[in-house]
Amino acid sequence: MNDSAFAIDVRDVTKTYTSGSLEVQALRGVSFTIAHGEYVAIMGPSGSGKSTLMNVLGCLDRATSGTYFLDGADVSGLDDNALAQIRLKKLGFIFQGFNLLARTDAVKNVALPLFYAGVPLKERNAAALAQLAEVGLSDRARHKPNELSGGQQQRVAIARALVNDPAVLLADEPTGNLDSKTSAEILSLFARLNGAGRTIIMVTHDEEVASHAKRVLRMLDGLVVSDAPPAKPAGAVLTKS
Amino acid sequence: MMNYLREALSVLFVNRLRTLLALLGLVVGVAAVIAIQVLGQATAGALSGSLRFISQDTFVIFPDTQKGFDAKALFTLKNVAAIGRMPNVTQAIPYSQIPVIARAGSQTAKLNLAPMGGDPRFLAQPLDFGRSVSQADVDARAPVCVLSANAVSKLQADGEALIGRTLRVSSNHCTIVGVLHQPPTGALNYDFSPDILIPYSVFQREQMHGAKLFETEVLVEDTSQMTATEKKVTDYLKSATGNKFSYRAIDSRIIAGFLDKAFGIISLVVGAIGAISLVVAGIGIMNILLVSIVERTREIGVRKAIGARKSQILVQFFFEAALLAIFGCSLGAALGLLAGWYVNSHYIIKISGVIVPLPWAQAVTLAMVFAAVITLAFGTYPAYRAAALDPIEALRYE
Repeated sequence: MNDSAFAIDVRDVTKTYTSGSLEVQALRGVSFTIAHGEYVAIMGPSGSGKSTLMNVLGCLDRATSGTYFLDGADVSGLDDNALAQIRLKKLGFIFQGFNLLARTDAVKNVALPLFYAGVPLKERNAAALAQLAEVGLSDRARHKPNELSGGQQQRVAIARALVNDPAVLLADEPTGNLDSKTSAEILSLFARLNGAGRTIIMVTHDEEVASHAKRVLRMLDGLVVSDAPPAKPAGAVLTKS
Repeated sequence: MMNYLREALSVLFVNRLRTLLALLGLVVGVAAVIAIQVLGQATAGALSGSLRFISQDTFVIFPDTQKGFDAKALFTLKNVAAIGRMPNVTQAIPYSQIPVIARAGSQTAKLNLAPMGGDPRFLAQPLDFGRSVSQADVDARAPVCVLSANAVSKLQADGEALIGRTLRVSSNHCTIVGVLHQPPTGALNYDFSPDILIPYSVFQREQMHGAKLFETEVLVEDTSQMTATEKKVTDYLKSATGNKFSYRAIDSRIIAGFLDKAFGIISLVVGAIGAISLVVAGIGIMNILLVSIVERTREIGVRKAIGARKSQILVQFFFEAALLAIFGCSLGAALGLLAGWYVNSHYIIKISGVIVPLPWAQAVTLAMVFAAVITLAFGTYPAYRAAALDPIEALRYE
């Protein structure tokens, strides 16, 4: 992380999808900033534009207009290759469905971003093992996704997201496929990472889950309609850091 | 580079079944093409082995009967004598093959009787035992004969023991002075060579009774000039019979030429079948790669979300295709050589007696060329498709 003021700074971002003659405005001018070390939940009903916002924040998609500074750099006008490079170096993705490579062991899954960054095999594996230790899965390093529980798979995915030391961690419904007990484990891991200074942005539709964040952006019809601390803070056990 | 190779290898290994299925078509295709190459060469060798029924130093000439036979086209002994005096001609003899019943001891057999000149170069095969018919035999009209290996086996006799024995041919008889070597049978398995060779002077007296001639066999001095000599003899016979008829000359090289032509066509057809099977195999590989891209859509999405560039995905899929092609072609080449060798050494060799060396270099070159062509032709499009996937769409794909 560098010394720029904000991890994320979006200004008047819009996103319009055209399918045939039909134009859909998924984002209608969104502006906010997220400082380094913040833990933000993005909430909203389906169709509110939160997924689109997440894609734009994750540099998977480009905004139709407006500017987006990620870790101090303007990424609004970058081409596909440059965006891939940003995803590789600055962002870590966590998905609802884990999205680990099947039939591929945990170490290799975690090391994947380093493969694309051109890191040599030995260093890759060492870094991946260290990251797995970080999420408490050292003893599962050689297990394949189908040999791991949902919670363990998500922790492998978190390790993969962290292995390139990203500026921002983006989690899309990270507990959507997990039971409440494992969800709590993952959320406490997030809390710990945030406590250690990680910037986390999490999309969720679950108030309980959102209550673990320190700030909640609520979206409706392509606009941010509220920006406040969670209405009901999470239980003491989970927020203890 | 090594990284991509290792990644591609691990992806192929991790998805063993898919890899195996993709390989199958290619292995079979390449193996078939290479086996056919090996067998084709073995068969060619076997056929060329069967060509030795005619002496390399002689040619025969006869009226061209393609437009029908005319007795006026026949020629006389005077014409043969005139041919014998032409440049580059060592000897010209009247030629014919007559089926006869021959008897040696208590065994009889149906054999072909033919005349020969007083020169061992008339023989199509080397002698196993005894000697050839000599010029002295011809001049003295000596009743001697040389037997082919076929005659020996039909008479159910031992070649060496027959030397010096008497052979009865119809109402005549001759002393056996030589036995010829068994020619390689060859895949044609058709033997044109005569079984009993006697001095042509004896043949004339006993068999021809002054009849006109259909055929003459000419022994040439310089075989490199054979074609020119054939032309001169043909022209001579044409003019001698009033320029009304045409004549055909046949020598071992002309027969080899016919067979070469036949082989050319066979190899062309076989090659075309092989090429088609490889195209089919290539399309199979492309199909499997395309299906695997659909199956791996989410994986590609994840790889892109993680930060893989288009070119990196392209290279990776290209490497997978290349590895598949290299594995498949090498394995196919090995299997093809093995199959070709097995059939050749266990079956063809028994018919032909000819051992054809395995075309290693050809097989390896072929396999490499196929691998390269298949990778480029059928791996590029799937790799491009994979690289062009939109990460958001790919991640949403169920």
